[in-house]
Amino acid sequence: MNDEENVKVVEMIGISKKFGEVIALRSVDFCVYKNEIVALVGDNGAGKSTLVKILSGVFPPDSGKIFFMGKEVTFRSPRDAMKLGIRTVHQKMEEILALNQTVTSNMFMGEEKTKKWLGFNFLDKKFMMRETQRVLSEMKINIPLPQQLVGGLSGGQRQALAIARAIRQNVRVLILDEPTSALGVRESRQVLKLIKDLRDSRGISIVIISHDLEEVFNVADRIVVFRKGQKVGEKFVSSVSKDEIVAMIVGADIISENGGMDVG
Amino acid sequence: MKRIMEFFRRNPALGGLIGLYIFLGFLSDRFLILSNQVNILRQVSTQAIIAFGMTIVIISGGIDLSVGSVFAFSAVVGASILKQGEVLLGILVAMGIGALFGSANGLLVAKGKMQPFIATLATMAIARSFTLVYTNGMPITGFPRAFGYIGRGEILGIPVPVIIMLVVLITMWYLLRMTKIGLYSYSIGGNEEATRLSGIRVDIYKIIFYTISGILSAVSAIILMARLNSAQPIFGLGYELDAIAAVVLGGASLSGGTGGIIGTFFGALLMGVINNGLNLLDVSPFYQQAVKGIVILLAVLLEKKE
Repeated sequence: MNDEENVKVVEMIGISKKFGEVIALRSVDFCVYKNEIVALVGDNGAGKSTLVKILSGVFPPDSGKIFFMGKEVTFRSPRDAMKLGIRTVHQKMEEILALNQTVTSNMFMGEEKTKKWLGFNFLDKKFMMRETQRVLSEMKINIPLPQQLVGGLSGGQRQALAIARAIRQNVRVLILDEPTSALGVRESRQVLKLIKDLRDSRGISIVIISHDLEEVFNVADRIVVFRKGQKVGEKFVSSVSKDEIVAMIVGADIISENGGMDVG
Repeated sequence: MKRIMEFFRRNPALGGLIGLYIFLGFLSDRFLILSNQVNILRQVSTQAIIAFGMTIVIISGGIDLSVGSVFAFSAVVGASILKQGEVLLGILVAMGIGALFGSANGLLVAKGKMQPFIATLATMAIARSFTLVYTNGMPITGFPRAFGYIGRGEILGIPVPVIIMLVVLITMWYLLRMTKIGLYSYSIGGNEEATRLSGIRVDIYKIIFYTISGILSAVSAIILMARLNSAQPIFGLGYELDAIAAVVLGGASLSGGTGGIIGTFFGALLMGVINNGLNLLDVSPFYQQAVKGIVILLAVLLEKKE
């Protein structure tokens, strides 16, 4: 890793979060380097989704600090995180897209383009439709009609659309929460290829949550392991085996917690 | 043929209207004449304006049960000022009351996280009670002559209430189809969580939707007051149900995400034509509610049939 790539785009320090009596995160440190793909792995309820939701401004942490390019930031809403270029594709399809709306409306949701005419603001539907078509074809996503309702798209098309929307403009960190869990084999492969292409061609950082270690080893540069709300390991893919990761996920004592190379 | 069926399935009110026009055109020689048609539009205008406000609320997945009571309260408060001869102030205060109750509804739903049904049920009771307290149960009558023009005047043979209705219709169509406010009402009704996570301030937009509904209730009240030259504390009883019926007849779903202003207009018109037709055919007014109920059931059944 050279100096250019060693820049920490995001650094989270001492992040804790409780939901009622349930401790979701316990003083977690986490960082994202420039131009890397970092995978978050861990059992259900380990705290991965909570961490990325805090990073994307869905809710604030109870304690801890977030730094973006070295400057401390606080997010009061998803909008604040989006302004910095932190964009998230959440796990549940029902949290991503409005199925009763067109591909174009979803692509621009919250960032609609308007034009003035006789002093009134009008949605610039033509522009948004053209732009949608351009983005989709540029990313080689097969959605023929931008005026089509999202409800009629396949799972893979929806996921690709959600990613396309997230990276359409001003993206520094792309967060993907289980982007392939609802997809078939072929569709998963397409989405993973898309993710790799993005890192290579756009130089953005990607945080991906996944349960599929095959997929993680295939796509990620670095793996961060969570267990019961704590970070229990952090390894470069090149310096760790799947068995070691599994051991960390389930908490087996095969390796000591500081056994591997510490990259933090 | 299939496409025609599909069109009417999506616009049940329009199908019903065409059917009724043919039916009533044959049965009554007075139905189709121009003065009767203008009359229908005038009668429909107050209902339609409330229903236009209800439309944006229902599209966003909410409901506003308080429209009838807000109608009454804004009427009587406005009336007490109109009685002093202050026309403009009276109108503004009435609309202000509508906006106040509307934004209160929006705050309860958006910030108080209350079910829209419950929140607006409560404000419906409160506004009605305020109306009775304010008037001591008595009507307020006798407004400046100029004010009556809003309810009884005509421009080029078109009644002023109809013109106001058309202005509201166009404004609301513009809002729903051409602006972010309208687009977000569909988004919030379709998927509130996705809308929120897209960085859209859902709370603020919900407050806007309910405020629009409150203001339009007041606008409608102003028209009726001007026509009757009085404000009654029992104004607007049951108006919420007529408005909801018009919206649903217009093709909206109470679960949100679908609907439109033109559809609502046809829905309100359908109800007006039913009233008018039954009057012309000398059917006892006692049957009117039953006929409306059956029409609503048919429309919803038609829509459900995929």
